[in-house]
Amino acid sequence: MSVAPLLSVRDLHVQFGARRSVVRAVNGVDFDLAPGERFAVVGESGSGKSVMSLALLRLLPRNALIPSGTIRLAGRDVLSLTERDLGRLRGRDAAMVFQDPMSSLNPVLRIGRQITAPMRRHLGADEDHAHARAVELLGEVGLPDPERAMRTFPHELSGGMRQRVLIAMALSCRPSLIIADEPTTALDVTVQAQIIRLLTRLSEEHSVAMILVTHDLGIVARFAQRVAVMYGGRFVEVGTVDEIFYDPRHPYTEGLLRSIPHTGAERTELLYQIDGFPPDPTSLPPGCAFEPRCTCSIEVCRNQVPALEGEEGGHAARCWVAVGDRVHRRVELVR
Amino acid sequence: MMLTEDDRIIERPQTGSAVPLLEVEGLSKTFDLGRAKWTGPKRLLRAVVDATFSVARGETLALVGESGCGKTTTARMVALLETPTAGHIRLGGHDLRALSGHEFRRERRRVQMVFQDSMASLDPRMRVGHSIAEPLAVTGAPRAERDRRVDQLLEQVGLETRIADQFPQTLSGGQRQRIGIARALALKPDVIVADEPTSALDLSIRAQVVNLLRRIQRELDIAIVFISHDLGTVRHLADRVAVMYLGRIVEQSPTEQLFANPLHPYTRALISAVPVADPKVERDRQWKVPEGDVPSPIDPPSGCAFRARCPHATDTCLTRPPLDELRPGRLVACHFADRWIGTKTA
Amino acid sequence: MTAIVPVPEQVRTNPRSLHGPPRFDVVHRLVANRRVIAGLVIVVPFVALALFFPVLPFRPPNASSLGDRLSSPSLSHPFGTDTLGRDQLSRTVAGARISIMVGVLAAAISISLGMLIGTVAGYFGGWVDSIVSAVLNVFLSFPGLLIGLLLVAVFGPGVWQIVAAVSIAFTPRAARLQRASVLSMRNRPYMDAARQAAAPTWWILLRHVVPNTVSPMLVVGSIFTADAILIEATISFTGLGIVPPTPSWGSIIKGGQAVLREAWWISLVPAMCLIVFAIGLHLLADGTRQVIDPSEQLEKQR
Repeated sequence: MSVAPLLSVRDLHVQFGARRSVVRAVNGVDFDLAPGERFAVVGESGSGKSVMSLALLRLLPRNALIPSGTIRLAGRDVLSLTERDLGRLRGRDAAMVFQDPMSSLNPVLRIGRQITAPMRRHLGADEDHAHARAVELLGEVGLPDPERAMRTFPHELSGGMRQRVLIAMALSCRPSLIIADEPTTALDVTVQAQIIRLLTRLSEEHSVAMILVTHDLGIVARFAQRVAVMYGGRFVEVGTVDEIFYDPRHPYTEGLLRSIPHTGAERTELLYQIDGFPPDPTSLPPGCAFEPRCTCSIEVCRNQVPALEGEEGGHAARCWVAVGDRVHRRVELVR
Repeated sequence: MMLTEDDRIIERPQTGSAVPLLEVEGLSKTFDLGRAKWTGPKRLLRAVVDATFSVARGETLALVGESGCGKTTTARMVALLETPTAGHIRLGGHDLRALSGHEFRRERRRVQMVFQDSMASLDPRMRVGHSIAEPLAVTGAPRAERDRRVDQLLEQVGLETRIADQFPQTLSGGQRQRIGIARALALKPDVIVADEPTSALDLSIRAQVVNLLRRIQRELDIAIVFISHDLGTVRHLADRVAVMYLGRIVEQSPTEQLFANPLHPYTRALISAVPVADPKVERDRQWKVPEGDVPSPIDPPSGCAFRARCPHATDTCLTRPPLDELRPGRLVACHFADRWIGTKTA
Repeated sequence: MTAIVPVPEQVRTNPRSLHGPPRFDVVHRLVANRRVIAGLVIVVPFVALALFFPVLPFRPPNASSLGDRLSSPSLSHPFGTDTLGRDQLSRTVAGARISIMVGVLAAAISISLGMLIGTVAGYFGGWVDSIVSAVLNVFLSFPGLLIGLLLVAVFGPGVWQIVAAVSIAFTPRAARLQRASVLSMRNRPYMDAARQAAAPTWWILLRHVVPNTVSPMLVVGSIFTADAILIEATISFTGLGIVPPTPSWGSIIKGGQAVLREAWWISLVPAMCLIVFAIGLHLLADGTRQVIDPSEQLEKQR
């Protein structure tokens, strides 16, 4: 990376519970994020993607434990910040947009009050300035009547509009990073498209780096510049969006891409299906987490977790079989 | 199990030549929401208005649309879980609503539903084997036969027979969905209504369930009504697609023609809104994302329901367009549909 | 087009699903819960004593011995004697027998009736529900004690009369709870699944509605028992309900009221028993609720 990374994560581990069963949600995540970059983390339920995104701003519940790892955001070590400094970080340097807009907004406060809160707190803005900027932001995120919207309560708005309000709030203190955890899952398809388009535009216009956590590969294809595929608490493949979709190296990535009915694909064939089921985070296998479902695993896969191999900062995969010849597999993506 | 050439290519009946098994005509459902105030106006929710379609044996019809479009209510009416306010449902020629109690109970078993939430669709206090066997027990099948059939059904959906003793909470989402399918098959139905069967499942599991439905349809020659908002799966699985908006069917076409040449502006909007897992396609396509939110079905706009969000709306749209058959097998409810016949999709 | 990798259709069973069925799990968890154990430690001895009273070597509870009247607790009379010289220990245990029986019976009857009424109202809805709910609301607007007193005044004194009175007083509460339970599960998809198999209504009620709504009722049953005993005691204390010489905790407390200063033990002992037993039942109920309440379980899983 030629520019200094905005966010730098090394060897991040997150686990829950102690007594009998430990839930190993995140098991060694490394990545860098460039300023203004749009980064997507794809995974299924149980892959650890949400937990990882919460960990970045230390928003995990009390029973979560980060036994090891470093997170450097804008030059500061997030994991060693005091509560006070953390409070300054959240909302100002980095903001988060969650999946369910209704539970992220206080139902008894008007929108205006909520959206100006971060500005008043972090930037010390007075009421009038904050109000003006809020109206400006609401217009920018596409709310039809921003002044009126300021006076409404959350339940008076639709899901799509609420999510826009949250995005406006996230932008209000001009953060360098926005983390969005499944921001469109609860929304209708057409509204989803609007929100994704909005996020893309905002990222470009304001040079805000974005981490989008999702399970929808279509959204990834539309939105992301770089992608990480997550499975069993680890990144199993990282690369640019073209690399991931057109040259997948990890069997999971490949299987996933092939199992999704592509609207351009042949109709008459059965879909490729990945056998088995996602791993149980309380009992991960000693080796590669995907091995039980993998059609091309070899002995070492069962015993040892593969390292993330590939070009430094470029396309990399965590698989003993991936890089190198795949003579035994002889498969190609059906396009 | 090696897939052979025969497995891979699945024959489809020619559209239009098949005798319809399930015929739905003018189906409507209106909910009475009571009055907001004592003296206020009566509020009616017209969830489904005048839905007409048919499905033949071995054929799959998909109902697509966003929330509030009425697809779930339509599905429930077809599965006879909801009483229509108006319209007819014919199964093999018999008008189901006209049947007496005893006959009705007998005929309704021919339509079975697979539910979206597999956990909620299984009684948490019953072992899954008993859940699957319940339809058989209701019809009076003896114990031995029920057990045998449960084993048979479990095999058919690709599960180990010992899973029958488990309770639903211990199973994974994919397994539960298969149980739901097994139960739906217990009475050898002619029609299966699948309500978003994969949306609650993990990505890597969805293909399993889609393939299963496919295979079962081919083996048992079942008609499938498939509700979904996942256009990719719809395109893969369905023979014909009906697009719904605010309770009405706005377009109905064979699948390939619908995707290659969508005629209704809402269909075009929907297709362009759904992201495709292919970065080049995404970069090249033009985004014609409609503005605004999906309107509430309680207070729909007059005239054409899509008027408020349609980029091509004119005064003509103040009168509601009828669902016309523009070409054989292609129905559209838009005054200007013929403008787009034969053009490429956006 | 190149060859497609063969796809085995058989899904391997998730190792998690080979654990035992939840039913046995519940029993294990019940026994492991501290409140349940504490509750049982209190409740079981009381119930055992009450049950086996006739065969245990107690003095006859009604045998008066005027020479010993109002004697304070001693070795021969561990709980003292009352105004007629009757042994308080045996009277207390005999009283327990009556009180607990009244409590359990009244709770059982009101819960059974309540489940019946509540299920009908909740499941069928419409005008049936409207009428039933209206009637229930009338009853619920009165405190249970008041209804009990009223009915006992009408029925007259006696054990069975008081059981009937308390049952009638509590049935509306049980009915309301059951109705709420039924309403919340009536439209769950598995009910739809049963309907689409053309299962008759009685089948659905018996095989699905009742088993899925019975758990909260078990918890309620324990609390009703405690409440019923307390109401019985209160009613008997006023002189209605169970009258002397039949011992019940309430009537014994009443009997000791006049001599409270000299012979405090007469009223105190049954009162203490009442309190402790009620606490025991509540602990049992709360512990059971902790174990079977799904939202508590979800919290633990996080």
